[in-house]
Amino acid sequence: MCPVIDTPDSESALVEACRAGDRDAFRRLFELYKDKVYSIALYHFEGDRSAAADAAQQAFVKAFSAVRHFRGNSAFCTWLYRIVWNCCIDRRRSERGLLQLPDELRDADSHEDRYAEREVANAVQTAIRSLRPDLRWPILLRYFENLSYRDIGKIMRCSEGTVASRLNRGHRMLASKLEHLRAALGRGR
Amino acid sequence: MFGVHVTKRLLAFEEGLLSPRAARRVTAHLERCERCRERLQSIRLAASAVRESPVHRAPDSLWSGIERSLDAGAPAVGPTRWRIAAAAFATALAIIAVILVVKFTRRAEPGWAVVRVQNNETPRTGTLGVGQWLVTGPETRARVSVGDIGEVEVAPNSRLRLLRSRPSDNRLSLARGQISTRIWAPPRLFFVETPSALAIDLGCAYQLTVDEHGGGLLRVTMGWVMLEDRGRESMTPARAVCRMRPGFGPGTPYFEDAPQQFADHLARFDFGGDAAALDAVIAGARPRDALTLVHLLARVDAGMRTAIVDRLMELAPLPQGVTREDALAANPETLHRWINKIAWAW
Repeated sequence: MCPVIDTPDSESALVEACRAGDRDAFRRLFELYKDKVYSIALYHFEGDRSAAADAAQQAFVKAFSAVRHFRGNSAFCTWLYRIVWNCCIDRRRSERGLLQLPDELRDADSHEDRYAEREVANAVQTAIRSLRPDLRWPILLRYFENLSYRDIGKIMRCSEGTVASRLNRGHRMLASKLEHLRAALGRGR
Repeated sequence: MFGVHVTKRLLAFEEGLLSPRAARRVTAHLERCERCRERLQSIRLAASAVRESPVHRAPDSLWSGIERSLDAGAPAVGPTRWRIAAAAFATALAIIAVILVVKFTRRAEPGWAVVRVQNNETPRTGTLGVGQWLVTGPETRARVSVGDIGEVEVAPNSRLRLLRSRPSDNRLSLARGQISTRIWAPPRLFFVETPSALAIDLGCAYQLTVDEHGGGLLRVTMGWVMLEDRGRESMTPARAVCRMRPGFGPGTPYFEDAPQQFADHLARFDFGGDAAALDAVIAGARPRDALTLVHLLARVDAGMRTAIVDRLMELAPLPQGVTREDALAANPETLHRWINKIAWAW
């Protein structure tokens, strides 16, 4: 679900101010969404913080540059996440240009060190990251962002049926990857 | 045994998307079928696990990067018909320009040779093309030739990208990690962009470190380097260092041999605006810390400049051509001239 902001800084008022070029209003929208956008990008890039930050930056720049075209036909967060999705996909394509040095190690897993003491959280993140992007994104948007099937379909440019099917498959894979943690996950629920 | 399993409908059931009749059927099946109950439990646990996954904090450097990008090409506001037409025309021109640039400059922007070194293994070579990233692992180092004007040593766990390779603009972006650079070309031909500031080579050798939050440290070993961000400049000579932070830009340079307390006070003023820390910096300055004090003149209110100028005059006479009034006015040209004139004393 999109974050809710108290009036007078309601989201629609902030978006409207952004449409008039108000950089401060954009900053407030940025503060509202930055962690979620960055987190989703981080999952997309399998823990590569630098790539995630680049994609998030590009997404926000594009959002501010294009916000005057936002007509309110969907929630702002749906519109924003569509831009994030596009930026992540585009960046992944451009990363094909990554210099291929033999035995080069990409520092993709270092962020996990921070959570070393939290094995379960680690395992969940690893399981999510191991999903294919077209299965990972519906899972994240549904359970991380609480978006509807319809909104997820808008973001990923597919039908609600396709979203449901991908969620089903994603769930199946996730459940099997988390099977060994079932007892741990079950505690406290 | 229990009729058709409802595995494929469990997610829709859990999400409340089934019709009441279909939901009743699933409920009835679940009462009898342990396998489907297990499956439903798995779905609930997985959904719950994802919901409770931590939200990662975006790096502090994100906003400053966005602002820089927006400032570089701020969008027009309130489109009108002529503006749209102009924008369309400009876009067409830009597309043509991009095609021409891609067509004619790709060849003119050669990649840079890279040698990868890992432990005691035989070095391996590659080429870093414009737009490409170079990523080193925990045990990997790389040496990059900056065309024929210098070289860059890339430390482990670094990530950098070649942005430009032109005769007048050789430019890297250092996203994280550490590089050591030696340039033997005239000033202002080699640049390194970081999340906090732009490092401009003025004929020198230096080490640049960027941490995971986009902050960093410049350490100059020979010549000069200028750090710049949104008009804030730090001229850093050999044996001096300069911290930088996203959103703040470059801090004030100081000599490496300055007492730790001096450096700490300076950081508290640079990135926290701590007035008491500024007083401590002024009081603790040594003659060679004129470097720091002259930089501070441009960063404090007019009221604080008197104390700094008085301290500078206690430490050493004002250089020829710089009057007390000039110093108090903190005119950028005066400050540059001052820094250059007293450079030899350092």
